[in-house]
Amino acid sequence: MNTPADLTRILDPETLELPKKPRVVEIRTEPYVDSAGDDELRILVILEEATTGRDRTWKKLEPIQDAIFHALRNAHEPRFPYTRFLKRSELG
Amino acid sequence: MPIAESFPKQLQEQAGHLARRDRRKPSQANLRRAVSSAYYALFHQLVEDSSAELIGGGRENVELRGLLRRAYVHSDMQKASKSFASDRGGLPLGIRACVHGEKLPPELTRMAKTFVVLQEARHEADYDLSLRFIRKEVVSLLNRTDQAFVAWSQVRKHPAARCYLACLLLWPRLQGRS
Repeated sequence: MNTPADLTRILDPETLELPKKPRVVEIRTEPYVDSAGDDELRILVILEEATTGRDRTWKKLEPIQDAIFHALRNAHEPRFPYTRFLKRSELG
Repeated sequence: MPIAESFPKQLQEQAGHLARRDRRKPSQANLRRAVSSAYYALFHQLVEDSSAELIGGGRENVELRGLLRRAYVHSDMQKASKSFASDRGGLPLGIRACVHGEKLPPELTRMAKTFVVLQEARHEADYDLSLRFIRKEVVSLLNRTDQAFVAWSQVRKHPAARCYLACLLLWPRLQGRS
C-alpha cells in the first residue's frame, strides 16, 4: 500500500499520460472506506474551469480514469480508486 | 418480452429521464434516483445474465431463475467486480486458471469497474445527504453506464465474462479456491 506522498507522486498530472482535453489541473487522493467496509481510495480529478459539457462525456473522461488505474496498478496499489471528476467551482 | 429482460433497459431510460427532467436547477431527489436507477439497470442485467448462464435461459427455467435472482448479494457482486476490474492479475489463482490469455477483455474490465463505481454512487445517492449531486457529473455517470451496456453486449459470451457471471453469485465460495 502506498503512502499519501507516494500517491501524490504516482498520480502527478505532469507525469501521467493524460489527454490534452479535458485538461486535468490537479489530482487529489485520500483514503476511503467504501460502503462494503473495504479500505479503498477516493480520487478527485480537478478539471480545468473552461471544460465544457461536451468534454465531460465518459468517452473523454475514461482515458483519464484508465491512466489512473494503470499508474496505480504499476505501483502495486491494491486499493480500488473511486474517481470523481469536478471543476474547482463545483467543489462543495 | 419477459419483464426480467426488459427491466434493465427501462431503468436505464428512467435514469436518463430523471437526470434531464428539471430544466434549470435539478432537484437532488431526481439526480439521486437517476443514479440509483442506473445502478439497478446494471444490477438486473448482470443478475439476469448470470442466472441464465448458471441454470440456462430457456422458458423451462423461468421460475428457477426467478428464485435464483433473489440469492445475489450486492456486496459479493461488488467484491467480484473489484477483482475483475483489476484485470487478470487481480483475480484469485483458482479463478485466474479459468481465464485464458494474459489480459481480460477490456469490455469486461469496463463493465466490472462501472459496476463497482455505480454501486458506491447508488449508496451515496440513497444514504449520504451531505453530498451534493451535480447534473453534469450524473449525466457523465449515465453516459458511462450506457457505454458499459454496449461493452457488455460485445463481451457477454466470452469465457472470461462467463466466469465473471458465475463469480457474481458464487464469489464467497470461489475466491479462496486454488
